[in-house]
Amino acid sequence: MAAQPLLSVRNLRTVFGTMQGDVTAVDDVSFDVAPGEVLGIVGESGSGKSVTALSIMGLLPQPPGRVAGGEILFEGRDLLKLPKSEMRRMRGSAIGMIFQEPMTSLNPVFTIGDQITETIRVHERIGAAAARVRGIEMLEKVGIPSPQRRIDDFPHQLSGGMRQRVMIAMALSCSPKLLLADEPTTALDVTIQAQILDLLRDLQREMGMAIVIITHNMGVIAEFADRVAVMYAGRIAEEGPVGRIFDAPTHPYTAGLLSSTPDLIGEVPRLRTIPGTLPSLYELPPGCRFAPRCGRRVEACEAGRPATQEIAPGHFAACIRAREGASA
Amino acid sequence: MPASETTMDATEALPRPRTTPFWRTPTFRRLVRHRSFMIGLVMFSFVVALAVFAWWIAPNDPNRTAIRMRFRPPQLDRVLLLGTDNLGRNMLSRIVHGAQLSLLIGLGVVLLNSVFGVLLGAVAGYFRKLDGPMMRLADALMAFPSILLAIGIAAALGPSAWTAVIALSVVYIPRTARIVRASVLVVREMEFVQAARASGAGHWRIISRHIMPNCMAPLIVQLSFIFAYAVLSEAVLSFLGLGAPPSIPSWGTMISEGRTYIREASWLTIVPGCAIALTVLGLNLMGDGLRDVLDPRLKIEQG
Repeated sequence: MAAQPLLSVRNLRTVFGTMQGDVTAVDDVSFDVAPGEVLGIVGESGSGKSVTALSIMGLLPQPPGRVAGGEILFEGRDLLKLPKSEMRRMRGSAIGMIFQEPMTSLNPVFTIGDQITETIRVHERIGAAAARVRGIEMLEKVGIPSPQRRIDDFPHQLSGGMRQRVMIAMALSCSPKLLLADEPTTALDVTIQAQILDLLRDLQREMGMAIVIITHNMGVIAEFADRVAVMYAGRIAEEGPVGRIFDAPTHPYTAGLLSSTPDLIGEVPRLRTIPGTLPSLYELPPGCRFAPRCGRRVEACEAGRPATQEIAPGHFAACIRAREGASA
Repeated sequence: MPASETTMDATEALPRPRTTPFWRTPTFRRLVRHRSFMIGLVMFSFVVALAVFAWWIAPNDPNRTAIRMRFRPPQLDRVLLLGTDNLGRNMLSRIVHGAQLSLLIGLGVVLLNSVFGVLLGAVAGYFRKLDGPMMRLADALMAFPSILLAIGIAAALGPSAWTAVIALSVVYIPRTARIVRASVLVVREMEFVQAARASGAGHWRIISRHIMPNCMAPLIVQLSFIFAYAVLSEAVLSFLGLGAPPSIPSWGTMISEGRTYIREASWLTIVPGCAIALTVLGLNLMGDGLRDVLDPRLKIEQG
């Protein structure tokens, strides 16, 4: 890892105020993203992946959400302590974000050209004509055919895959150093998913930006990410280089996720599943949050939160039996 | 590197080679094919034409009295088409000048509503902390029967045309704000608003560029109904002597004055009554048509 991470999330805690009291959606999460690195965050629905991304962007719905603790250091500056106007300037220029739902992520009443140039002109002193030229360049970059004509299309004239390309063009129009991609391919066809991932990877190499990709699809991670953080019930269960996590997962949850992914090689038996469901954030188990569903549970698991141990350089797991190696 | 200065100036000057003019859009075609909208449009346009060409249609000064010419009934005559009233004033002149007043007051109320109703509704819907207090205030205003509140305000401010505009605006702005707020609450949760926020847009830009343009349909429909209510309520205020002063001809004043002679000279009340009915009906038909075309969710489907 590089000496100075681009993004460093330290002990992030994000809570949501509800009628039944505060619920901690992200609990003591820490990770680093080096410049130009792709970090994948995987986890089930409700594990806190998206909330983590929104916390970084400062886009939590407030109220009820708020960051209750920790630091989010971007190039050494704590985003949580930035004045609102400065944070607004960071969004879109230094940190870009793309969303899950391309069908509704574009404003239906304006052309895509209007929307791309708007993003550019919010951040840069640039004339309308110059912004339009940049917009056409961006559309070309994301592989939209005949961008000179397409730039005057309305979102409803484009397919889902095309709209996601437009969203990527918007997010990258000011050359951000970090792109947060919140399930960018979930709503797309499998073939389109592959195209969008290829596109993102090409652009990432070309522009040298770092990407945090959030997904629940292990396949996307395997194909795309350099490192992966597995989240469970608001905490990071395991984090490490993709190769290690896939070949030698040490946390039983990671192992369970991997074994419930179909394998294309050899006989496919009945797919394995992880019994049970994610615990309610209102009634979290006292010790390890995965313990009630874990096949390798011992008594100590329920005693307290398992410490995060470094299994190998850059490979961390929050499981007391991590060193035994997992083959759940 | 991006300049740190935010440019809030408009991006309207963008070259836009392929914009469709309104009269080629499907919305426009559907409006043209909507029968009751077109009937309403014809009725309302007729009233607008009366007001615009008043100087040409009116045979003479609407306030000039001619005692020898009192109570002339309507007849086929360029001057006496609608007869004369109890002071010999020309009814045709008074009706067309009354159309000016009604439409100007209606327009004033609509303009004030589209500024303040939209502003307050957008703020209440967008900034959730202001929503509670603002909507409770709106509830308080809406708790009064609308015409009673208008009478109260008009009486407190003293009768004049401006008073009528202000009184009626105070009555209708909470309603407009409510409608706008409801649309804003829906649109603000849409992903493109989140996407705009993620690309660094500020509150004001998000409201004006991303939320409001997507809230226009119910607003336009509401404003067309408010226009109709304003015309009707102006007549009521004038009827009660709380509207424009007697020197300005108003349909409400005409009905009020003609009331005494309703047996002997019924045209004194029937003619301005018809004018009010024509305007209000025309506007309501247009409003229904706009609602069907722009905001089809509100339409009750008939088999």
